[in-house]
Amino acid sequence: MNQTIEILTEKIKNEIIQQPKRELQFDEPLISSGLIDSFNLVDLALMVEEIFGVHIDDYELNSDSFDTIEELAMFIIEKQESGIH
Amino acid sequence: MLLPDILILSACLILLRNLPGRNLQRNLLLILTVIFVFKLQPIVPIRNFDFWFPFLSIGLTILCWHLCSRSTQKKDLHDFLIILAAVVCVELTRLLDIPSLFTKTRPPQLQPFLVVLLLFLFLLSLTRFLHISDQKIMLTSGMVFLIFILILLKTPSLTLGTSRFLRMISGQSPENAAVSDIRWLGVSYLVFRILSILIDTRNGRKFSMLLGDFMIYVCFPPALSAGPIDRYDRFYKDLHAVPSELSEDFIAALERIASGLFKKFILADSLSIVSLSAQNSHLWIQPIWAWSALFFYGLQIYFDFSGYSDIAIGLGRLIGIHLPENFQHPYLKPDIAKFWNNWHMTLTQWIRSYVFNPITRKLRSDKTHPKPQWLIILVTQMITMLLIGLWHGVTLNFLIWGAWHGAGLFLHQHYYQATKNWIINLQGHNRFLYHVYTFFSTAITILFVMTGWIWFVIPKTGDALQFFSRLF
Repeated sequence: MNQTIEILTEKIKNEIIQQPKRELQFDEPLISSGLIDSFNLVDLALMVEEIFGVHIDDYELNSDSFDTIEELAMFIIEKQESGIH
Repeated sequence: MLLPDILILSACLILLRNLPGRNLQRNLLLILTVIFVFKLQPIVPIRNFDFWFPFLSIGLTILCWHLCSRSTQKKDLHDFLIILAAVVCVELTRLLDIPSLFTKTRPPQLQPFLVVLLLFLFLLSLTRFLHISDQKIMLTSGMVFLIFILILLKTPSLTLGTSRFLRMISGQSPENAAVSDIRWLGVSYLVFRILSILIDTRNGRKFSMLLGDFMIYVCFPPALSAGPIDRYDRFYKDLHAVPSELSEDFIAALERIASGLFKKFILADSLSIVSLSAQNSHLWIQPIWAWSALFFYGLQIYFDFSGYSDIAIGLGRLIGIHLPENFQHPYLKPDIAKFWNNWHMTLTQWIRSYVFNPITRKLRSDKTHPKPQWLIILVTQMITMLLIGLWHGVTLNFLIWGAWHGAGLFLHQHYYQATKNWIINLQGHNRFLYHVYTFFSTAITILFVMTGWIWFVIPKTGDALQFFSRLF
């Protein structure tokens, strides 16, 4: 879990929102706050699919499915455990 | 929904909530749902169509369930019989001498009803047979058919043609046909709920929904006429959650309904007297009055729609269903992207899930012919907003309204990318300047949205342009 959070934090800072110096908390809202916009969200889904090998459906790309890095990590782990790739 | 409908529905939902056993509650909710599809349907000038439109809503829902669900439980037959019995009961009110009990006019004669019912049962068996042979083709046909219905009902010339045709088969004069004849309650919302299930099934998702659960989801009376457009997974969880005490939800539900009634029937209805409309657009000569009428319209549509959503959410809570939010102070947002994240949220989320995300994903994943980012943004924002415009009606002005917002979102995206770091810096180091900046950006967003409403409220492009020129 912690490792997933670390990877996600680095990738989101550097590649998705492109603000490497920004402090990003694991419980900070990303989608509902507008930090990650609808374009970034699709990039985030593609990145997660590439790194973690899980598929995020288009209807799951919203703040109800995950809003923070911690929730996204849980979401990925649940998918990995249930074998939905 | 009219005030008496809201009162009757509230009373029914409170009664249901107090019954022992979730199963009994759920079965009675299914009957209530079917009856309210008829009860809420407004009067239609074409003979018996205040019965046939709800009948079609129920029929389409059953057909879609038939195509998508893998459920093979005995309970499905039980649910089907409950739905059938409820529809037959509505039809049999024809024999009673009580006007407007479940339908606005007397239901059709028994003979045509039985013929249509048998035709429907035949179609249902046929889809089961074809469904087994090729599911993907059936699902695609279902999607195309539903989109065809939407186009038919939202394109004025086609709607007029439909009205003429329906008048002819009802033995009425086609010369009196009008676009307003085709008032099929909640069809836009119903089609979008059904479409989401068809698309998800086509994409490989496996649903094992009970027929009754699916019927309650698609035709849930509080959300039937104007949303919110919920998702099945979320709705299902609430429907089968262990019921909490009504007292927990009761006060919150009543507060929400009261707030909705105040917004819709007091604020919106009062504003409608002085706000811009298709009929009075040529009367506002002075810029100050033209701006006032436009702002009053912007507030009217907000209070009307968000008030309605409040009523729907409140009514849902009475039976333990937490419908999703549809509006969260959209006029207080500092940019157009945030406005659209908070205006008619369930519709934008639907379009995002089934149009914007798949197109963006496709364009972004194409590594062999990478497209420039600005082009991807332009194409996806425009398609999304044009579709939202067309969903309201297939007319030039709704298209312009969609393009207006598509262009706004595209420009904002570029502006945001260019100023992002500066704004973050301002937020961190100079709170006062940041608040001043937020105030002005909110004001500009409001002006942009308000001027966009011109295309939405005035149906003729010439009239809209004339009104636009009067603002300056």
